[in-house]
Amino acid sequence: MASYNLNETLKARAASQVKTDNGEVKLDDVSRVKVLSPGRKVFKRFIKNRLAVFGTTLLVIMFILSFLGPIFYPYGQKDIFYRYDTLNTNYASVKDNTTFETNEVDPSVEVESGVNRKMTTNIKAMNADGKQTLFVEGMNAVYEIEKNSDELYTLNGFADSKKIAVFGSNLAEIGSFDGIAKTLKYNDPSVDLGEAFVEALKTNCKGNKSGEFEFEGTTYYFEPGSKKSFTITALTQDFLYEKGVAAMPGAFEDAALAAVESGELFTVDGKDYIVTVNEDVYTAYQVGEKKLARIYTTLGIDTIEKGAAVSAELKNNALLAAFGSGTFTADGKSYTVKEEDGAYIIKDDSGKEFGELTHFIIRRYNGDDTVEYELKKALAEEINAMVSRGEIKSAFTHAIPMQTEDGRYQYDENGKLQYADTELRITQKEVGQYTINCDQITYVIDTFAAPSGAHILGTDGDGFDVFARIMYGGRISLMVGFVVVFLECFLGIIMGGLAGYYGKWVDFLIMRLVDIFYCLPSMPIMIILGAMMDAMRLDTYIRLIVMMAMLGIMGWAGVARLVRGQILMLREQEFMLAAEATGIRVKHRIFRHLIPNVMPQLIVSATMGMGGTILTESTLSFLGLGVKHPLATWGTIINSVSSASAMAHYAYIWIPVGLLICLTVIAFNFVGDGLRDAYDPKSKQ
Amino acid sequence: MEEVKVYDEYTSSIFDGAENDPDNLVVVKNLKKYFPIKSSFFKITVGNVKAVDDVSFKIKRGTTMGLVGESGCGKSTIGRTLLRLIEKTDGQVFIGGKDIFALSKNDLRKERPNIQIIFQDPYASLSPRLPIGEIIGEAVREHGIVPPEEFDDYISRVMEACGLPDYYKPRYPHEFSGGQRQRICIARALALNPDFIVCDEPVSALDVSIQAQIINLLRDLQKQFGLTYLFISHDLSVVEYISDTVGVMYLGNMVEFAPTEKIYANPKHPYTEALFSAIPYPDPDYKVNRIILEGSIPSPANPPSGCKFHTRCRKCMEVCKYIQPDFKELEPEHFCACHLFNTPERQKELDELVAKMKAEEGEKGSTEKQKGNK
Repeated sequence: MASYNLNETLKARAASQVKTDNGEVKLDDVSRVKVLSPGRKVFKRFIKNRLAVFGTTLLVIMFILSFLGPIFYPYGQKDIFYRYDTLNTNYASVKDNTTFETNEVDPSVEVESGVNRKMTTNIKAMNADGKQTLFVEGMNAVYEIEKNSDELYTLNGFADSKKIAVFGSNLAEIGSFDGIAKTLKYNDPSVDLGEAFVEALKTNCKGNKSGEFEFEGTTYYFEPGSKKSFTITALTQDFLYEKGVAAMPGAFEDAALAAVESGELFTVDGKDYIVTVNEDVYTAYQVGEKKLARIYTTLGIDTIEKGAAVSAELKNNALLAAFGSGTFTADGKSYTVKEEDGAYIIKDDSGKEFGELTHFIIRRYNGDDTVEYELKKALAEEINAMVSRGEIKSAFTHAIPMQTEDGRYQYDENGKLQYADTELRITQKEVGQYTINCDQITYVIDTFAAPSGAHILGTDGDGFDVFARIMYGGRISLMVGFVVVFLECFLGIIMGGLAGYYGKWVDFLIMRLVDIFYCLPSMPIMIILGAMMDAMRLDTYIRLIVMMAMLGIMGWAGVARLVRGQILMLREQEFMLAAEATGIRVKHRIFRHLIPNVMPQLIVSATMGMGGTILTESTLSFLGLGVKHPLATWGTIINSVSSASAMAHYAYIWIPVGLLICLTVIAFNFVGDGLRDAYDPKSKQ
Repeated sequence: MEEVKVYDEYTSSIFDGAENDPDNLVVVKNLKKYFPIKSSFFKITVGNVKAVDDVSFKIKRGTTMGLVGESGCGKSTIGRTLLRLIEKTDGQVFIGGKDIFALSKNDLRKERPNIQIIFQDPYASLSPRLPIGEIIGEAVREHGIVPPEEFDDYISRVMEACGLPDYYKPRYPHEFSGGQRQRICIARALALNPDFIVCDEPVSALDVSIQAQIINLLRDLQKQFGLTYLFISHDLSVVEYISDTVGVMYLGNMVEFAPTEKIYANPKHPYTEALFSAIPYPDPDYKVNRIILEGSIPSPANPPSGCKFHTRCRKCMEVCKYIQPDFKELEPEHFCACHLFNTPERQKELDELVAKMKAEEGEKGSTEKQKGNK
């Protein structure tokens, strides 16, 4: 230790000195000067900088707006707003029905599905031939189609049907020719065509081929069968009776041939027969009692009373009566059906109109049969008129039920529906298909509403309140700025500090790492990351965290360089050497001498960085890579009007947000500039 | 290295045993500090800057040694190496009988308060973000120089001793003038109760009136507390005023070391002579026999062979170009390194050596020539 004790010496000297201080402060006493700490001095310089104060004020306003504003603002960032609007809505659709629909009358009569399917074809064939009735055969039974009118056909079945004979151009089997034995075996032992026929067979039936040959003016066909045998057939006009059916008398055959022409039922020996025609082949059936099985019609019943029940019996009977007796009973009530002005009106026994048979199917847009009869009738008339005029568009005015703003029907005080004359527009979509449009008040999402009292800055394309979103978006945008810069500084100080203080290979390693991070293209990486997060369907808050982490990781290199540079510079300063010479611990040297001297530059760079980060976040969100849509940030708000037309028409959405971004970034830069000037000891006071 | 290393034995023993004398507070023996020159890419040492090359001196307790020389001759490097702020290359430094370079890190930290330094630039040597009370007191607290309850009073007294009112304590360095700052530096050094203070050009950054204040302060403190100074300066008048002994350095070498009166009255070395002839004399009628040195100081990375001063020496001899002179005691306490003061026997010995070296050189030159002809 030292050879003297300074403390004791100084004490002794102080004791020996006579106190001359009388407590008065002299005029030139430096203690009169007010002493400011460096922090206070920086503050004083800072508040003298008008731009810096302006920037600070702006930032304070931004923070109040973003973090306190939403508390007092009634709307949230994801509240969707609605409004009432007159919209050209699809009111109803009309179909001019031309397809024949099946109505089952007697379910006890089995109708083969093949017959049912071929009905439209058969009806067309009947119309082409001008026939009133047509017999058709199914797999097991025969049926009669009867034309009641152009719009109504009935299908009759028979109680009993039995196939009797086939006639007309028909192939009859003569016999079989044995190709090895060269003998012919006749099917009918009574027939013998002679040796010459056998010789002809011998010359023709060779190998394993089918073919034909002429013999005495008749064409014979041969078909190879098993064991080198051939089946020999020849065309015949004869009646070929079914097995187990005895040959019928000539009177039957004459009547059958006559029936081919007339297409009517004929009776022989008290039994009914019919003939079905299939090209040149005619088939005769014995049939029993005729039964009405199905009705095929294009018509339907529109009831006058909306939604009145129409039973199948009523419908069938009405249809039959319309082209028959004109009266019918159904469900124990009697009705009349009469043609009036081209329409078939159904009236009940009291003479009250029940409904109408029509081939127009008119339904509301949702498929409900709730269109009023009056309107249906008017529509049918208008469509008929339109079609006859050869137009595909038409409009007329008719009363339809009034709707309230929220889409409910309006009733007066007596509970009666209110009607309003509305222009109904008919458009032909395709032949027989029409849509009816009209203007109706509808409850719609209030998109792109202009600024108003309710919405200070209007609403965006999703019906969100723009001002609310700006405030909530500010929270995220500003928070991202702070979090990212904090992360950057945290990493940057640690890495730069290590590099600067330890130097040598640590410095080399960290600085090369910094170089690598500097040359990483951050934008493509963020784009890839955004796409990856899209694919992974990450929650939007997790995206936000990942994005902040990524921005921080990409940005620390600059801070690390700054810190390292500062520390390298400070390390060589004489006061650091003096601190070492006085034997102060390394820990204290770093935290009391190095760090406080790095802080000013760091604060300035961090402040400047915040503006940049907010801009980056906005860019990423605008590109759809950062925060995703329903969550508001300043970037996503602009993104919601990113199309050219939206930008042109809805400037009130993006201009305020763009302005806020600009102002915030400018404010951060002003504050950063102000801080830098304030920290610079060479700047004038 | 060079062949002249034979004579190292002689020089190394010049202050042997001096550290055992408690009167010698500081003994420096053959101190060397080379800064390696590294190639830019592979960091291979391609040469050395011989900032301090074989320097020996001693300082008696309670005295001041002045260290003078041109810029870049290694004065400040000696100062910093003494404090082990930079590591030595070779040699020994004893302060208070302790080999500074043999201490462990922890022991060195404990030894720090005894050896203090005052830097040249008072603006750079104070941390701008600490109040001066803290600057002065930080290390005092760290080393527990005084009991905690006396700390405040102690700092006030130290400041008063250095001519600083105690109400300056909460102020920051930027609020002080250069002279006041240098007082703060002195107070910081003094507060640690040191035996030895290296004053590294403490007044060169200040104007003359302040210089006088600081010098007087240093002298007063020395008188009161018996401090030992190593006073590094290039201002010869100041050194003459404050120093008891003076060491003259040229290009990393100590060329002359003697008590102040002796060296100022009778400088032995041609460099010292030239240096001292440059001292301005405050009499317009006085004719100064000024010696103008020609050329500039050679690079310490590639110093001249033999005596480093021979390139600029007007008394240069043949031997000076080849053999480095010994640092030897010409008169009691007067040391000098110059061939002018060789004994005839030694001169003869050296002449033979020179002849031999010349012959070798000639041989080498002729072989090289032959190689060139082939």
